[in-house]
Amino acid sequence: MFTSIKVGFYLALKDLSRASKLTTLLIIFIMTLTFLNLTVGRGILVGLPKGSTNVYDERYSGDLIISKLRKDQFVVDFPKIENFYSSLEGIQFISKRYLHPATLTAGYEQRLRETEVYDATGTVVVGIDLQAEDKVTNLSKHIVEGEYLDNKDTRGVMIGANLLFRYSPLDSPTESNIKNLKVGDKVKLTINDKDYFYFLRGVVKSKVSEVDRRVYLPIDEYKRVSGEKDFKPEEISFKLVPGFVPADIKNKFYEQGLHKLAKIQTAEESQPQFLKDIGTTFDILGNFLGGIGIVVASVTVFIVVFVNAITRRKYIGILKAIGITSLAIEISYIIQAVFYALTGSIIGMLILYLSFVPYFAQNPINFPFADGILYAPFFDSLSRLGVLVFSSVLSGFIPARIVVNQKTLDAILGR
Amino acid sequence: MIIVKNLVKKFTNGETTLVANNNLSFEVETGEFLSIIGRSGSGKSTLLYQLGLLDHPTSGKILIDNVDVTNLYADRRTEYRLNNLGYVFQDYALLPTLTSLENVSVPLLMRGFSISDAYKKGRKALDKIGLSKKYDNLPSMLSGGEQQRVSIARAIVNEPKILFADEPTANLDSETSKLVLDSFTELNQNGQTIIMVTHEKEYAAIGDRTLELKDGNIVRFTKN
Ligand SMILES: Nc1ncnc2c1ncn2[C@@H]1O[C@H](COP(=O)(O)OP(=O)(O)O)[C@@H](O)[C@H]1O
Ligand SMILES: [Mg+2]
Repeated sequence: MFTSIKVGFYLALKDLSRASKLTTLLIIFIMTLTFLNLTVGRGILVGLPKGSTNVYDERYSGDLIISKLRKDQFVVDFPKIENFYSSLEGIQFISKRYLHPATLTAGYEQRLRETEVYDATGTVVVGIDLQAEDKVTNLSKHIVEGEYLDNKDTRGVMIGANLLFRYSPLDSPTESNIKNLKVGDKVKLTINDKDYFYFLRGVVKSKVSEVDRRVYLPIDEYKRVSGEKDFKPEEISFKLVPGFVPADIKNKFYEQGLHKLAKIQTAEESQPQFLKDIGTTFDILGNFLGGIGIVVASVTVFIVVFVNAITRRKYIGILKAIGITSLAIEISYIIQAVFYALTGSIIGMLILYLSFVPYFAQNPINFPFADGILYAPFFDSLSRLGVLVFSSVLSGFIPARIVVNQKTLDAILGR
Repeated sequence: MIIVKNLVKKFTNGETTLVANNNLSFEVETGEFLSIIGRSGSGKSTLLYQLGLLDHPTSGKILIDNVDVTNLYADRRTEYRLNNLGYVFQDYALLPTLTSLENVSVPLLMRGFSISDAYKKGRKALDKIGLSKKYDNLPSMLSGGEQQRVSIARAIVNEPKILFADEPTANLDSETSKLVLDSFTELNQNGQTIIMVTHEKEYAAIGDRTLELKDGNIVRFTKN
């Protein structure tokens, strides 16, 4: 047994070192493609919902988000919650958001007749500390027109891109987006039936619908126009100090019973259900693709080893004639198969992590609700490498066995 | 000693049955050099493959040193071949990806020798047949005669009980053939039992005895 393994190794090493370089390279190339097929296709699929999660927590929810209960108008017991988190360790930045329904109207001056429909849309006006918001959600990085609003600006407004028809062509009997509005234009914001006028300073497009359908005012201006007596936020987003786990921080709120006063969610939990569903679906699809990839890989190895063994049928016969055990010969083919699979996968790994992953991180695939990344965690890829090597053992063994089991004499004489 | 009793080998192909070895019985002494001759198709190779445990007889028995080896299982046959038998084929049958030395050393590795010990013994075997300068040549870089001598070295390296050779000189010119036959003579002088198939009467004469086959039957079995 041990001797057979040793001889198998010996024969495999000699075969590999003296095989045609071109053939070897070709087989390794195929195995590299197979490995990439296993990781990249799935990685892009799964990377899409992952990318949307990233977009969601980087641009809207932060690591943790506290929002009002459904029955309330805002976070009713906000002082109690604020009291708690201001002494909590692990929180880096906080943005409080105050929300109020509003109507945004553009081109109101151009309306010629009383009956003509206004270029208007329903929205939510948000009062934020723009500086604080930027620290939590990097909102200023997602300005597509004009510029980021300044806290001291009392005559300016910033809007989400999805309020504009050119970004989101919505035009139904009940709701339509604004058709004619550009940076610098004057807009009318109607809050509690009162009109306020602002200049459009910037348009933000973050791919998160919550962000892209809102109108933003600096917090002081919001306080002036919202007319709220009880001034409390509806949402508070937190960015944690790197290293702190959102779920742990969330639990601290729970331990204090604060979840009875407001909804406390990690970024993942706060995602809209459709994103979670897409994530699950793509995960299944990705695994399905991966499964096909494994089958393709196994068949590839099978064919490579089978062709290799069948063309050497005579030499296998000779080996058996001079007393080399079937096991030793089978092992020599398995080792060659493993060598191809392993080398191919390692090269694939290098390509994956040195080229593909960084490339997609730099140039995400542009989806409407996400920036598609290539999701390929190292241990995932490592396990795929393991699966590939394991399947190459099996699919190397079977054809080797078929050929080795043929009659020795027939093999030598080529009958 | 090899004892062959009522050995029959038939090949059946649909309706027709061909008797390649027809009820052969004979004995070969230990240390003997036996030549088998006969025209093409007379059943020489068929007989040799059975004696060499590469094929099963249809009926009859083969005993080597009083052990019935006729119906060993495949794995036991392989093991028996490794430890007791050596082969030289007409077309040399070397492994193309291995050098001379490696070709010769593989059976030794299979017997459990370390690589360095196997190479040491392998070199000695190659030296014995005059190939000390060609250790590292691949078969493709050797002449026919050299390849055949590598195959002889490989066959004898495990000091087999019996060395089988099936027309070892058929692909060689007469000068090279001489060289190969000389190696056999020398091996036999040192006690090696040899069974060699040839169709040249002249070459058969170097053996102690000659067994002549015709249509699967023994037609002559004489001392040389
Ligand atoms: N595997 C086989 N199937 C059918 N017939 C065979 C087979 N092997 C050999 N023969 C036949 O048996 C006879 C003896 O063949 P062989 O022993 O090779 O002859 P030799 O070696 O004396 O030339 C020939 O007629 C050959 O055609
Ligand atoms: Mg023959």
